[in-house]
Amino acid sequence: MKRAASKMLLSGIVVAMLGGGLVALTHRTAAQQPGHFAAAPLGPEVVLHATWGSMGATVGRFDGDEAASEGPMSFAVYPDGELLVLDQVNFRVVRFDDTGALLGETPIPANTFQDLEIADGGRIVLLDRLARRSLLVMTDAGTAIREIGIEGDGIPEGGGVTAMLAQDDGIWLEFDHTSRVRLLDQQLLPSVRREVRGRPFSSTSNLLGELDGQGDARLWLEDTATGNVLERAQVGAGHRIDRIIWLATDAAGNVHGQFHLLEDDPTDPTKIAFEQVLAVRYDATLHEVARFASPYVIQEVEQFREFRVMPDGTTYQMVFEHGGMSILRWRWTP
Amino acid sequence: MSRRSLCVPKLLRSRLALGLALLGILLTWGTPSRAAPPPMSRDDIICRAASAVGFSYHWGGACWCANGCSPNFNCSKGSCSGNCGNCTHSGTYGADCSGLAAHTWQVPSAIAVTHCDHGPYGASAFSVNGTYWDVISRSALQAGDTLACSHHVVIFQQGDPWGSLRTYEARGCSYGIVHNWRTCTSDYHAARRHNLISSCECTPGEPQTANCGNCGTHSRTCQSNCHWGAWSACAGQGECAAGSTDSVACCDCGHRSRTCSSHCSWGAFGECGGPDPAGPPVACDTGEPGPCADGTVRCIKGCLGCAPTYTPVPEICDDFDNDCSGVADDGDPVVMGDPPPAFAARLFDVSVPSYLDPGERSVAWAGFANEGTHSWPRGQVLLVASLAQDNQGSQLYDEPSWPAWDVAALLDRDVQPGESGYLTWMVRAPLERGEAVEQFRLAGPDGTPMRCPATVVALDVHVGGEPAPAAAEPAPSPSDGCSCRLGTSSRTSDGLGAIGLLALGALVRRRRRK
Repeated sequence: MKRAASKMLLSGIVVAMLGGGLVALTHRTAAQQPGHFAAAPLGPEVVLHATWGSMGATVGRFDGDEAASEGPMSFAVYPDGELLVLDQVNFRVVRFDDTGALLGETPIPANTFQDLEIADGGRIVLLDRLARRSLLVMTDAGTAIREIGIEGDGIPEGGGVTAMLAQDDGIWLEFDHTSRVRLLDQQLLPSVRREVRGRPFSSTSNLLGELDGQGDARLWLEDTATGNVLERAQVGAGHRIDRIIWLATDAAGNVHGQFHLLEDDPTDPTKIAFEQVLAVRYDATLHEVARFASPYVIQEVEQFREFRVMPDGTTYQMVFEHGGMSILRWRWTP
Repeated sequence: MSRRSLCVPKLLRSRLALGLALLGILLTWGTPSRAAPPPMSRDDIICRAASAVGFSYHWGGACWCANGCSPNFNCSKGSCSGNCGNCTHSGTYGADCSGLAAHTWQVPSAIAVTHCDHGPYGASAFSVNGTYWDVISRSALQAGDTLACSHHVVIFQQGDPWGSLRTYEARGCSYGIVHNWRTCTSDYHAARRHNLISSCECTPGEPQTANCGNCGTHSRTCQSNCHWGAWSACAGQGECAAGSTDSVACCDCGHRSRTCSSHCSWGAFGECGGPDPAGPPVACDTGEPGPCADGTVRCIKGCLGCAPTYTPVPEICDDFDNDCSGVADDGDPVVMGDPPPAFAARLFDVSVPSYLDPGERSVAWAGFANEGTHSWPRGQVLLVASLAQDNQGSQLYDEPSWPAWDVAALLDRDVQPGESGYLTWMVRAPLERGEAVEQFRLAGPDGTPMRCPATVVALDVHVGGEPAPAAAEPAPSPSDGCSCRLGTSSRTSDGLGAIGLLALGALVRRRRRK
């Protein structure tokens, strides 16, 4: 399977873009009105679409029967645009080029891995939060290098790990969306555990977020040494923010946040009145620069990693539909 | 491979579940109140769910071993392989998602976690209203609610700061039963079990004792659902409620009361008390002497009686029976009343002998100030020997000089109030040796003794030596208020005269009172 990376529409996908903003958004200041943003997203581009299957360029989906359903739990992107998809249902990691062409696959020893990261030297780090409760370091050829347990200081329970983060100084695991602990150093050797609040922003500060309980969310930058709040942002979407999906900082210091907007039908709790994914880009002082909406939301088929932000701010989203899995891309201008 | 009876194709299972639900509806048709599973708190639900973590995923299974809120791996956790519903399981214990949810919620009825009957519900049943639960808004999720879609159900514990969900779930064959931070898509609908009660009140088995009734005690025990059982009967009660009071009527008037102690037993009744009879006071005689005889009819200790209207006070010199002794100014009161009595005298100077020989005579005199309101007429104020007995006279009776056998002297001039007068008289020692005593009291014109403030001259004469020969009466010499006796006695002749004179000189007591 191979699709043009720039193809804008897929079967069943409707992406509504309006000059970098969405008409659905209502909580904007004057400076944030459409056309006033300092940057504009370009996308989404469908960089990969893989049908459901068990081999080759397909990816596996498990339909639970009195159990959880799973698709590929995570994905990663190489700097050159090549893609890695954690096809754990099929006990493998699949590698695609930047046009969506299959490059190869790496077998993995279990179907319970839920996240992966690309480390120096092309090595792959796999996270199993629930069954093995370990980090597995392996070569891109599938040779296991080491496996370490994740539970310990800072991580009392593997199921509480909410993200795996590859930083310049090693591999960190986030717990409860609140703190992160370094488990592997830059050489992917077990590290003395060091716990820091939030997600990385700079060498001296970190990025944190939380729902405010009123339907909005708030983000802030916090000084690592003192805990003082350096910058704040209130995230309003015009609809109830059900979940902060992802927060990341690009190499230029811009902050990227993705939010799941979800409102029940007040007359029937089994029906949804509104659902959307909102992505917002902030500058280094947490002033909003741009936002876009994605009509894709997670489905019954579960995934662990939905978004990935590259150092240049390019944003990827892995989405599922009945026909298969797609990876979308937004780039920014300027 | 272990399969339950519902291990049938999914569509058929869904229809079967629907049929069971309809059957439930039919069975409960017309029931006025909705069905209720056993009462559970949210903590109860989370406790049950947590106790399953670590046991295997068992498609069609629904049991595990618990030790409180923790899993008990003394039971084999079991193992699963393959992809369910094409999977195999070994061991007794383990659960699938709906088995975990149903056993955690205890629907449709109370069930032990070790009881492996899966029950009638598949995951999809929890995504719609059921007999024992209602679908709720996701934004209303609380601990112990479920989130269910067509193929899976999880038990919600709480949200994290980002809105991710901490859940308990029988996730799948490869995972087992886990405690997992995860997302649930909008395909998952929230549901809340019926008959939720407040969280744990106590630790199962914990006893509690408390006071009840009249100082009694009762007890209760914490039940397995973390709520208190019923109180036992109140035992060991006292006869009354602490602090309560009881009263009864007295003989004529008023009542008496008692108070229940802190130990719930009655104290003794207090004294009767009550109001006096209505209307104007009724005079009566108390039977007491003096002014205390005057009384009014009042309620005294519950009975009608005569209560004095006068309160006795210490006696003072005022011709009034202040202390209700029956005699006015008795006891020689020295404090003068206002007004003073008609006749009152204060002894201010006196000279009396202290030593006499048998039969010897001596002069005595005393000065009194008139502190009464009436004058003392000459010859009508007397000095009475108060110890004289029945016409036999006093021990110091001097027949020739006394005006009467019990009157030693008469005032020889008028003395007005505020003035002073002297009385002089003779005393004669008896013939027998020993002590001779007498009290001379001033008396008014009618012979009534004056009683205060100081009206008595007391003599205590030592009688010793030989009887004295008849001698001329010594002249009284009241000018300096002293009495000196230069007696002659046989003691001088037997060589003891000088010593006797010295001794007599020492024994003559001079008393002077101002």
